[in-house]
Amino acid sequence: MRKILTILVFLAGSILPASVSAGSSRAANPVLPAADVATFSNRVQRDMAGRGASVAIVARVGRDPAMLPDGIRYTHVAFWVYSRIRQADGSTGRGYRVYNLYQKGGDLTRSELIQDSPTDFFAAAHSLDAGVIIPDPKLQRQLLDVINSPTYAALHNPAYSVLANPGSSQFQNCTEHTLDVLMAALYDTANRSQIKANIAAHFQPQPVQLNSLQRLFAPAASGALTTRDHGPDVRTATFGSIARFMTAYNLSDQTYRITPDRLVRF
Amino acid sequence: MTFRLKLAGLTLAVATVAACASPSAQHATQSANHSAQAASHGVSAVVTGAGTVTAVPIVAAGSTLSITGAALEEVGTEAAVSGLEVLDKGLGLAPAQTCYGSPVRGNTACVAADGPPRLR
Repeated sequence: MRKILTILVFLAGSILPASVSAGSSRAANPVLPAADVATFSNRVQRDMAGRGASVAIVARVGRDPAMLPDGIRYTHVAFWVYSRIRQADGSTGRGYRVYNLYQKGGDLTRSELIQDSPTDFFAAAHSLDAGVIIPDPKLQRQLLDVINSPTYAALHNPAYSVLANPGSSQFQNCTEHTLDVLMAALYDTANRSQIKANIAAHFQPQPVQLNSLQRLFAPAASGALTTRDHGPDVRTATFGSIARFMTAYNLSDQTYRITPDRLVRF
Repeated sequence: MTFRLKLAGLTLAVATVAACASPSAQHATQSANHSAQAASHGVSAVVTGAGTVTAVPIVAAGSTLSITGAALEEVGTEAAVSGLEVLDKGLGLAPAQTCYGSPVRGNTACVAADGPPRLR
């Protein structure tokens, strides 16, 4: 038994470090050509602008989808906000800024809110493939109100879990923060408990099939893999589950997938 | 052996579900910035670290927008290199005991949910 446990811990420890940072590991993630990333970033920006999106929810593929659980394609989600931009050199323009929750580089069990550019957003991608939800214009304005208010940061919980339970405030990941902000906008509230109650009542998270051994040993490799905030079943917020939620309640204007040469409506 | 391989594959899959990885440290240092927000009369200035970028959201939902000037990336001039991140196994997380509507282990349900979401 001791030998088996040793092997399991070794396996978890040797495998997970390369993958827990999903998309930022040089060994596990091929580097996309910078020119391609920039071109794709501009394509996504122009496409969204052409559709009149002031605020959108955008997701990227940070890992090989073949290695992800069924029903999950995107690994990072953030708000894109159309803005008037002034760079450090004084140059100005109009385009999107990205409002992210990122894992901290030095401590993957913690996160921070980071604003960056579309190119930054796709720099760590596995492939040039984005999921886009353009909310209803009314909801866009409400989202902007929240993003521009102290509520946006107040809803951030720096205790990070890859598989955070969106019905709990114990841990949070980027997708859950996006969902929390969305709920704050929908219900015009900054009350975290009320937001969680509404998520539990109306949002269907993505189930992730895990057995007890996996749940037991994964945290041995990284605290970011904890499932302590879950009950018997593990369910987490994903781009797909947010898209389904918004579609079910007629909250989205358009939902689609965009690649360098294709655009497909979900 | 089969069991171990299966476990390895599944744990790998678990680890990749919703990781919110930042770009490489190099890239992040160059252009990703911590944001701070200052609300003012309904329109906020979003100020990014070290004064490198200032972005003010524009309310224009529904109409066709344009991407101009500094918002456009100059193709081929910036390295988009993914860097290694050091895994820190530090734990010591303090669980946040917040009430919410659906009982889950370690928490207490004490808030009633509102009705289904709808556009206001």
